[in-house]
Amino acid sequence: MSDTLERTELREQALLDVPWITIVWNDPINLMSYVSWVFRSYFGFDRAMADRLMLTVHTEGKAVVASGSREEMERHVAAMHGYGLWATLQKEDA
Amino acid sequence: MSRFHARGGGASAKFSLGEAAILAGLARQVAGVIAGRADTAGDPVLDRLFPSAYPDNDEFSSEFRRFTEDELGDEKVRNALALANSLEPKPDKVKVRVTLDAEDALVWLRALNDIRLALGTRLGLDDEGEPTVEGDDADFTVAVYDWLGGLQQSLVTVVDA
Repeated sequence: MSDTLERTELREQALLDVPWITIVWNDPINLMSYVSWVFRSYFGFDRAMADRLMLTVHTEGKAVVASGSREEMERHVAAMHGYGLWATLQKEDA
Repeated sequence: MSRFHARGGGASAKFSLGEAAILAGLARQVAGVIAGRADTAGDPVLDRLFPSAYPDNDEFSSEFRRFTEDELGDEKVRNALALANSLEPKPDKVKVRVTLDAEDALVWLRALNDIRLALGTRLGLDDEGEPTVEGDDADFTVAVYDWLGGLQQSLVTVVDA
């Protein structure tokens, strides 16, 4: 019994430990310069990092811009929506 | 067409009365669409301004909306109205000069972006950014959309320098 409980707790812990990620998706409207500026001003990335992520969004259709707890990723997604970027969150392995 | 330039640590642009009226009108329209969004659910413009945070999970998505959408909507309305109000013409002037400090510029960038999202969505832009909606109204909207893209670009350039 205690064994099962322990295993369940371990499994739940493992689930909680899976990080969440914030994804920004490409769209034909947002200016590349604006997206890069948002990444720098909101996340504090340097220009090289912000430009690389912006280009990944542009060429690959999306980029992971942050990972961490679900609450933290929800704050990032809400902030991105405030800037007009198309952002979603999900579990890293989803 | 009007562009922003660096001026005293901020940004400045001069608009013709016609440009100012068009842009202020669009900003008020966007504010109106957002403020009245309860009655216009399913509008693609609103879907773009308030995207789903969890596209694969309706329950999480509605929960997220419940906690964030009011504040997000209020902020977007405030930004759009602030932009519109700063374009108010002065008596006897044939141009409207807009001077923005760093904080105003942030408001303007977001408001301009929301207006461009609304126009671009109405034009049904494809992945290449080409409009899929045609006609005289669309031609005018495309011209305004392009102008606002240049205007936003000029403001990004100033705040990013």
